[in-house]
Amino acid sequence: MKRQGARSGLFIGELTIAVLIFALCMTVCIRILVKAHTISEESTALNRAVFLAENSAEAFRTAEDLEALALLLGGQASENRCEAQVDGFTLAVTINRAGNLKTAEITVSNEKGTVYSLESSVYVPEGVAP
Amino acid sequence: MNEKKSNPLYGIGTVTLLTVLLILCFTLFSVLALSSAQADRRLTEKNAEMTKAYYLADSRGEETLAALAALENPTADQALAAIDPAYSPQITETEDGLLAELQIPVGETQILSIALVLEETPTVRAWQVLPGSSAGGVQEASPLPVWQGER
Repeated sequence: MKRQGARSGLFIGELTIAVLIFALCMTVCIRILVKAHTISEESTALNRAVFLAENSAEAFRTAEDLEALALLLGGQASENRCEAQVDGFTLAVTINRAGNLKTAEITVSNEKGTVYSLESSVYVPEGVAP
Repeated sequence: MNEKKSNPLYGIGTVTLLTVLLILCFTLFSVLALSSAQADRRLTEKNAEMTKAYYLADSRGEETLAALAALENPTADQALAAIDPAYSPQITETEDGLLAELQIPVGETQILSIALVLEETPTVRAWQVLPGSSAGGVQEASPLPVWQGER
């Protein structure tokens, strides 16, 4: 009986230590997993932002004017700026014209701030509408 | 004689062994998830940098095109003066007129090769991204070993 009691005590002791070590290791593992998830979410956001900026740059190159660009991006145009809301991102295209060169500053941002920005220029032959 | 034999599954050490195994599994999975996420981020950042570099080079090309368009029927010297020397410009005379060739670096491994025929308004003859660097020039792309149609 005595030996059995001692064995039970030893087993419970071992179990307690094992549970404690397991909990400690799980804390570290969960932190690593959370970090991996955060990095993954950031990558996804950057990837999406790059795609949106690239898409906007190509739309800017083909659009005849700001209204056409707004139509292509599904946003609204005001003065020299076009803004659109796409997949939780705010897409802003600011267009400046100097002579026969048209430049667009494209910014993709979310609630955390600017995710990606791009600059694109296009030569506009004389006689083409701004 | 009547002593019961204890179940070996619940013996001393089994719990420790199981815990070690579980910890190893979880650690392995979490480290793999982290390294995979970091590799994904590196790739995404590289893609973002490359996209930015391409549009920067493309914009420099468009700026050069606009600068050349501002000169009506330029001479070779005028055209050379309008192009940034960093783009290794070359002006040659062809049947169609002056041909301006320039190479704008796109990052460290690619070049935006542009060829413009300089008339009253410049005409784009070539506008393509090629493998190469600003120091080494355009590299010959090694062709893939494809079937040539001969037996």
